[in-house]
Amino acid sequence: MAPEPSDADLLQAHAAGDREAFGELFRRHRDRLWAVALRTLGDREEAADALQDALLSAHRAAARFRGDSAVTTWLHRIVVNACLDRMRRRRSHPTVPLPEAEPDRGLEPAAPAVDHDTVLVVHQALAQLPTDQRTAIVLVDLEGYSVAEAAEIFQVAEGTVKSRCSRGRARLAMLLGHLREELPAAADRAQVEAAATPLSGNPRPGGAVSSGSEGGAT
Amino acid sequence: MRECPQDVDWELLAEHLDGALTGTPEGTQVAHLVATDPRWAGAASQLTAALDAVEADLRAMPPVPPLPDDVAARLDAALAALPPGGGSPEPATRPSAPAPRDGRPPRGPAHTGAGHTGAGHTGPAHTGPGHTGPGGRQARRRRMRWGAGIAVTGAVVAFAAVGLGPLGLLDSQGFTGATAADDADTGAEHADAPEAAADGERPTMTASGTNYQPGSPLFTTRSMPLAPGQAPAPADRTLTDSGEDAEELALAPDPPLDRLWADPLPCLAEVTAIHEPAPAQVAQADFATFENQPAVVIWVTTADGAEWVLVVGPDCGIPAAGPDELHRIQLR
Repeated sequence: MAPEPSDADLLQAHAAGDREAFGELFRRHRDRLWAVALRTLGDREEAADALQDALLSAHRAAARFRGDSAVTTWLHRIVVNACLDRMRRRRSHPTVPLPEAEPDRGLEPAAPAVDHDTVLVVHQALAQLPTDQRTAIVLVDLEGYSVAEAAEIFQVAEGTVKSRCSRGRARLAMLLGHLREELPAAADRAQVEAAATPLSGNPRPGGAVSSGSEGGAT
Repeated sequence: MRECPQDVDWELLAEHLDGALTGTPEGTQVAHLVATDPRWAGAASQLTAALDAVEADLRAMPPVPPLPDDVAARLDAALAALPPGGGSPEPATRPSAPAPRDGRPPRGPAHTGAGHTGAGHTGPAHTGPGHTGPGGRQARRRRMRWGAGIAVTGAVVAFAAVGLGPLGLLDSQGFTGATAADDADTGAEHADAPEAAADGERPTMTASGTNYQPGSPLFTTRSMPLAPGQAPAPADRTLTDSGEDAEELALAPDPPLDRLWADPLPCLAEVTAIHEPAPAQVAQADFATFENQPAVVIWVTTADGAEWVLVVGPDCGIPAAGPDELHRIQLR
């Protein structure tokens, strides 16, 4: 039995005119790409639009793929950039739709074991993070990519991804009320969410320490 | 409710606790503070517990379900409309390509880019030589007025240079694309934010129509930027068989490059983002052709004084295409 073609084989076949190759490549990875788009944008329709933009661009750019990275890395990079482009065009915080009464609406399926209030609060907190921190946390903490993989996708140093994740988690800790003795009651959550303020502005210790390090690759 | 110490940098402390500052001067300083300052020590203890809770919250998030069937069907339909091997969608879904003004072979079906397939891209129609369609030459002149209201002088357009960092955050209006939270963020990842060039370092943008080839000496001779208001040499002007005004034609590159001419900043952001060390600056951009295909030739200087020429295609600046690089050489 012939071995399954690799991603690179499929991309080459597509560039050579194989009509089915790109579709097959997309089918292999579409669930993960969809997850990245949906988590990054927080909106189903925006995510669908971004994924379509990314798909069309990748389809057209395939012939120029040089193999400097894995095909999946390249695809993820295109999807992330398409999402970032949508966010720039929107020029506002991505919105997280409130869960509808029907279990098949909203971001997550109904799952009896999941606290939907917490899911919603976490999504709203993520939406308040700066773009680069949000995308780093989506890839690393939510989608399970390694720091190295995320760095390749973002085309930045690993230290930069680590920094973004650390800062994002600190902000989430404040937004989610974990820097208080206990999580606020439901009635206070709206106040927490509305009052979420950036953690910048604190005086630097001794005035000589910068706000963070871009750090080289580890 | 536990009070948060007011003089602790929580994000910096989080980086320290995560090991992101290991081996850096900041890491040494924060470690000293945690060891000697009770406020920092207390904050470190609080933050450690808080970060554990955040990790637990994120781990508990349910996985995203597979791509929904309706979205999959939509994407499959979009793919099916594309020609094999990449390229633009089938002609039935795209406007027809205008005839080239100077007899050069057309690049292909009119190209609007994936980033423009959504609602909103309704660029002016070009109907043939002289572009007597909607807008025409008056529209082209008006479109030249972009950026900070810089007026067109002759065939040369001057615009403010910006040194764009690796993040390439500037969009066509010079907007950082940041959310309100981004604006307030003073994290280190903004240390490479765009910097404005000093006066006297303004790049120029020309539309010479020159057909560059690999190894062309024009790459080197054009590295000397034109002074603002200085017109390109007569040989750079585009001439047509019909004798249309060369200077005016030099203001209007071929239709596939219209998007870049009207809004070059996303493309320039991509170009400077791939050049290191940052900040890289664009010295000159010439809207022309490369091996008979529409292209923009861009001269870039990096922070260490190296000079590069990058030739990009019409997709430059579209999200998935990045710089749409066609050719690159280092001059020095």
